[in-house]
Amino acid sequence: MLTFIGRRLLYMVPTLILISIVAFAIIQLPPGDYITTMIAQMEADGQSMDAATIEALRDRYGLDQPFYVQYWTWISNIVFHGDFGHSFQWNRPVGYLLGSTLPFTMLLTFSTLLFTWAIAFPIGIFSAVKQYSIGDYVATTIAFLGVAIPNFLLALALMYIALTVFGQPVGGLFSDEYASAPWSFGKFLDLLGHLWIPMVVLGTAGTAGLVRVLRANLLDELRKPYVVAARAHGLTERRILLKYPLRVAVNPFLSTIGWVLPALVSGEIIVSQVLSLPTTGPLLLRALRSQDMYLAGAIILIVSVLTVVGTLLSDILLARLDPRVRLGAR
Amino acid sequence: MTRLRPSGGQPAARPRGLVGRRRVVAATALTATAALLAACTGEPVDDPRESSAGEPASSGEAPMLTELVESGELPPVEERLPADPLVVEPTEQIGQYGGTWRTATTGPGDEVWLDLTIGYEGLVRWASDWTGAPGDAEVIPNIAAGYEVSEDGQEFTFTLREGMRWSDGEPFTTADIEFAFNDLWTDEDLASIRGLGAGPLMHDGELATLQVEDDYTFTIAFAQPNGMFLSSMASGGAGANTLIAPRHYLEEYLPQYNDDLDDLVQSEGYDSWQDLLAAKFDYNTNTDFPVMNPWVITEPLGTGSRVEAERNPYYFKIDTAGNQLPYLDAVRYTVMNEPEVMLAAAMQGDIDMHSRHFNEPANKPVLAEARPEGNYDFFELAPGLANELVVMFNLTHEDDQMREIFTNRDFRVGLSHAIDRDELVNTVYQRQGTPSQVSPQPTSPFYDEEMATQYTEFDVDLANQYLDDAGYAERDSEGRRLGPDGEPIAFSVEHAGLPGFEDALALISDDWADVGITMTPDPMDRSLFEERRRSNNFDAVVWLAGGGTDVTQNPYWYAPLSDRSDFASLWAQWYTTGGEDGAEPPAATQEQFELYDELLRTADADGQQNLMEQLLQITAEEFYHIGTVRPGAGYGIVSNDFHNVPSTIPDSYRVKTPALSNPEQYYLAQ
Repeated sequence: MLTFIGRRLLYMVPTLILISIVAFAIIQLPPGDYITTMIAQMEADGQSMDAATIEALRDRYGLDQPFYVQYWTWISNIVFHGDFGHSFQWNRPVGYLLGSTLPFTMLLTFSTLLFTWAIAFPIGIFSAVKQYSIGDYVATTIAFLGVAIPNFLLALALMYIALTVFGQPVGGLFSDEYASAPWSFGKFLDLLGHLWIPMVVLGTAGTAGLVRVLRANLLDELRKPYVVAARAHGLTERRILLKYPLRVAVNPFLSTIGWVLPALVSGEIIVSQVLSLPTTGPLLLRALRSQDMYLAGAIILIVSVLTVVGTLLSDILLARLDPRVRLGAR
Repeated sequence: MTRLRPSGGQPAARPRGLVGRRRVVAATALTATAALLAACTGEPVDDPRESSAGEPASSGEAPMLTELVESGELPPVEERLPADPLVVEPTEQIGQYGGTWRTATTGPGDEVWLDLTIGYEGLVRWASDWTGAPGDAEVIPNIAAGYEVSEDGQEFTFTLREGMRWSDGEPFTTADIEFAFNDLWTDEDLASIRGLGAGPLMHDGELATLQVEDDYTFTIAFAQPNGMFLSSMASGGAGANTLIAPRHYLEEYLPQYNDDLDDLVQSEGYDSWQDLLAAKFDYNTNTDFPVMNPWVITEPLGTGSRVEAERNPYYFKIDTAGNQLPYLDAVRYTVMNEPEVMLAAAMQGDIDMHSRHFNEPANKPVLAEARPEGNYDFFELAPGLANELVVMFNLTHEDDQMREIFTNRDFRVGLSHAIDRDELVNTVYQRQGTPSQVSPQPTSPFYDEEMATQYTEFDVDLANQYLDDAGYAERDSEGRRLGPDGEPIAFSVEHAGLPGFEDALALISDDWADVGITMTPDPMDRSLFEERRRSNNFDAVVWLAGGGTDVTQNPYWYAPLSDRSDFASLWAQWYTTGGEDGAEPPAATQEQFELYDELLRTADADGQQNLMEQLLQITAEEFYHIGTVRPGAGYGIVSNDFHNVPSTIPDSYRVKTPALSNPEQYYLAQ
């Protein structure tokens, strides 16, 4: 097991280096740079900028340097100093911006994950065990709707409901009185009161998908001879279900833990944009649009690293659950 | 750097035409001070306010500040105000203290809305009834108590207010001006920092000189008469605080004043002292930065969900009853990423006053319908644009064929006649606006009906006539006109997808197809658009034309004077580089350059008016670009509980709409 983990850790190093290069290169691909965006913005407001200032800006931000120099400055600062650079647009260190948004992203991600699992597991098991029952049809229909409705549409609908039924204001994770208040129990409750909308929006598609996967896997397993044998031995239905077929059926859950984070972060962008949430999604979108490359690079890099780590975690869990995974690599 | 003059020496020339204004300023200051003193000593004051006002007249300051004064955290109001505070006449009536102005921002990139609403105080400013008249008739003292211009238009003497203070309570004197002038604005190393740069201080290639006479008087002198200095000061730069910087705060971040700066840069985590200074010299993100503005930002942009600003207890303006402004305790900008979300927030009454992002013609019907529930109404924005959509052919096209076609004046006139502008107004602009070429607005002193209406008549026969005369009478089997090379004339018009562009170009494309010209609209991302237009790599582009009211300040829509003149970017380059780069323009255009250079050197208003009119005359003759629709009035929204917002505000970046209407005297009925 240790060699397995060690080997996986070694693989991660070149993967991460490649990811960082690709991330940085992609940001540089579109025409222009941050200065272009800035000039465009200023001109849209009726200001103009002279050529000397533009040169001075490019020089100060190092935008006139070749790609590899810019990349090396960026990555070496991260690796050696833990410094993610400076966001042009926010005029703040990238680390500061991530510090204020990543916790909310994590909170949203994990609460969504819990929400997804809490809903998907019972429904998935139920609709597998009671296949073709009315309950199964209802659950399946809802699941299909969940997959089919775009997140942003659901966000808009829930926002409307929250507004008209619960009187909650549009957008944000906090009410006015708590937005800039220090943390307190009241603020925590306020957060919970707002968190459910994005959680439900982000969770529905995932929940629906999981219900279908779990149902299909369980149905396969329930018909296998070992289940019949267990039943013949007089085990209770509940024990049979939880002890054997379910263990096999959860395999896809574990193997996709690593994907959950990027999927949620990318799904979160549109939802957070619509709901004006203080998470990394809108930050990334804005950074990409304005070519604020250090900020965009840092977010892509961090999400990638988390994905790689998540994949490692799911591999370890899988290896524990299913010894074939460990041996299969030979 | 500082030109010395014998001490006590007055400008040799008599101040030009400013005596009256100075007297007015001094007089209002006197009455205000009297009222204030009376207020402080508790004597009855003649109070013109309506009965709706809740606070007793004698308070003179916000209750929240009175509390601080009583607890000893703040000095009393008479010590916080300058000896001659600026008196602001409320738009409707004396207001009430308290409340928060709820508005919105899209976050970074939208700092300009902060500048326009709370970051607008400069030494001088535009009068509230600004019309864009030439000269300095509409430039009024602001932070400065007054100014004088020497008769030759070379020396500008400003007087500061005694006892004026920064928002942190430190005194504001000419030392701050000296510091700003010598150490910040004219330091080339700092030109990349937002709000810095010697722009308005350069004239005819020479830097102005500063002479400080005493703590409250200083003179800025140019080697040549400078006709645009005061207007550029009134318009302000990106930092909005032209020539004003808190010396006591910023000295620490400059190498010439701090020997341990390197350590500070290190410990604050920056790469260079310039970067550190850039971070500190930013009232949007640095809450410690002292300002002269009515509100001070307490929660900066970057923490995610909002930007909040609280009243500046040292603000230097009072109302006509002697109450210190601003009336509103705070301004809150909720960060909303999407203009659509902002629209929803506005409709439901979560925004008190706003005129940006969602105030497009297309949204007006929805906003109008939601007025009862949202408890708000509209105010008018007097249009400042010269045109909603101007088609600019690339007169300096790299390709000889294309250049030959585009520089053919008859070709452009023909195409202008081929556009059905009434249809554009009706279908694209919600029946708002008037068919027009790129032209000053009728409210501007530069309006010329002939210039505005020439070739705007929709007449296909006339259009065909002009195109035939242009030399493109020959057509192929599909009716397309053939160019000099015998191929059909076809080109694309690039645009960055601003509201209305796509629809308008589709209509124009059909109109032009009817006269045998193939035009393809080419929408693209804004960055790509900028790259292409900057590298002179396009056939034609469309954009909004500025200079509808700010004609002398925004002249590059009438002559290729800056790199925003996309119709002839190489000619503009020729002008801005003094003939080193770019392409030499025709004689008429060169004459425009001379006229504008002369305008910059002309101090008197009549002279400026005359020169600009001559310049515009050439614009009309040269017919560089094709205008379509002159915009109608825009709008903003204002809550029914929110008062003192004028029913009409001139709309232009240069006058910092809505700052022109004195947001410090807005108030919320309690």
